[in-house]
Amino acid sequence: MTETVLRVRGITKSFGARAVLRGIDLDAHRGDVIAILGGSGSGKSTFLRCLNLLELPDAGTIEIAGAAAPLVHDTQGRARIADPRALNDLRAKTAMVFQNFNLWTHMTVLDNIVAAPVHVHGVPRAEAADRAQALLEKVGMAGFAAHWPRQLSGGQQQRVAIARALATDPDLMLFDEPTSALDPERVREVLDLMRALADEGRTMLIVTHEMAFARDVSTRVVHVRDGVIESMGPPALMFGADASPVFRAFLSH
Amino acid sequence: MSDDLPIATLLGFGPDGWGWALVSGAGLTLAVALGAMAIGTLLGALLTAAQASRAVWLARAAAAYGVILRGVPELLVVLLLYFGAPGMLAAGAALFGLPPPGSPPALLTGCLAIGLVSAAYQAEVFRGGMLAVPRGQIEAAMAAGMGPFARFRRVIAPQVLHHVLPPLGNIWQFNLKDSALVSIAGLAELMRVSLVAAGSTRRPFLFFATAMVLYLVMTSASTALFRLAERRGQRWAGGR
Ligand SMILES: Nc1ncnc2c1ncn2[C@@H]1O[C@H](COP(=O)(O)OP(=O)(O)OP(=O)(O)O)[C@@H](O)[C@H]1O
Ligand SMILES: [Mg+2]
Repeated sequence: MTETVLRVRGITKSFGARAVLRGIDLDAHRGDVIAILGGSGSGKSTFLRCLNLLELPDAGTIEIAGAAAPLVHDTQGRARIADPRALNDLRAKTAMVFQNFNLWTHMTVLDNIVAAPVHVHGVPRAEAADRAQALLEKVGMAGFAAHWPRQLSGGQQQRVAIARALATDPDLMLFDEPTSALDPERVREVLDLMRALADEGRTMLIVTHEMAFARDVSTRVVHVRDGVIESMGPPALMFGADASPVFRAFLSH
Repeated sequence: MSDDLPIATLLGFGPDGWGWALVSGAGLTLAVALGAMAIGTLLGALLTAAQASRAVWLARAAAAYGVILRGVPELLVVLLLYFGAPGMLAAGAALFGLPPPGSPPALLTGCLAIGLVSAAYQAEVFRGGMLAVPRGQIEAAMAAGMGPFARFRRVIAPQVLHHVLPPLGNIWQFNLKDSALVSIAGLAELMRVSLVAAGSTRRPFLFFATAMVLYLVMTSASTALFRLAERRGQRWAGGR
């Protein structure tokens, strides 16, 4: 029995007149590594940002490890979170790794990592700091605890951002093009780290343009096109001859 | 006649000396500036929040406040409050059938007048400071499950503080100097004391020069304090 970590039904989202997401359903079980592929502007980032409610979907339901933050709609149909506490609870079960790292520049590497455990989850600081040191070791950044983010290369910042994401032991990790802002020679160090996370059974949703990574590491490939899931399946199938013609056309663009 | 009294006596703390008056004048000057700064910070923060509000009328009112208070001479605001406040208070009291309460203390009027202007400038500074916090860092805080209070306390405030300290230092210096305008309301702050001393001793140069030195001591001491505070934030920002 594998536990369902993510259950998404009927997500829609428009920006003004532009319908960016047009009804997305997706389930993830513990240990799933789902690569989300698709053309520019197809709605991948918007979808990912709907999952932790950085964007509020217009309709649909999201359940993450048993937590949900129901939406209510005002008279003009605009969505709003019914209960702010439920919102933060749901977010606390997830972690996001951004294209531009988004480390807090006024905090040391260590403080970046302990911030959520201490200030969101109420972990004692000393305990959080011990765990942060272990995480820094794991991401190959031992010895950088006292550094400031600006002193690090892009690849190093992203590895710290991944340590920050791991610090709360999230049920679901969301990656939005984690290697797109990196120098080509720095991409590998981040991908290797993500592969290690996949191997230890982390549940991850990864928006990426790294096709080899999607093929070799993911348990499922999802192709998003025009705000819907055009096709999905295990990588062996999606990268094989029986994949949907639309997806094959996307791959060979 | 004091024309022939030695400087040490005039500036001293004896019966013919103005020392105590000057010191307490400087104290009142600091009090006006501090009060104005506090009022300005409080009201300025509210104005910043109002300007960012989704309620259009509130945002417009806050913007209009800034345009007006930054656009008229400070002296006018001081005069308006000083001469206008008793009338306004009397009218207010009359609404409740009370006798006119008379003039509010000059210190209060002074703090308020300078503070109202200070708020208009501080609101601009805060607004700039808020805009300087990268959106992505706020989203990272949201994604980590921080609520509005934690986001403000842990991410927004420290960065805003770093950005606003230098301009706030300037505003503080203006507050300190503008407090001289309150002398017109009869408050015995440094400017007023030196005017009175200059007049009654007929040694204007001596007393105005002394006032100048005292103002300079206050401004440079506070500049040094602000510098110190700024330096603490520079490590993460990479030394500017
Ligand atoms: N906040 C917003 N306001 C208005 N339009 C937006 C907003 N965010 C995204 N969009 C639009 O929604 C569409 C989908 O954007 P999204 O960022 O989800 O695409 P994407 O699949 O992640 O693309 P990319 O591969 O370029 O990152 C785009 O047309 C984009 O311009
Ligand atoms: Mg995107």
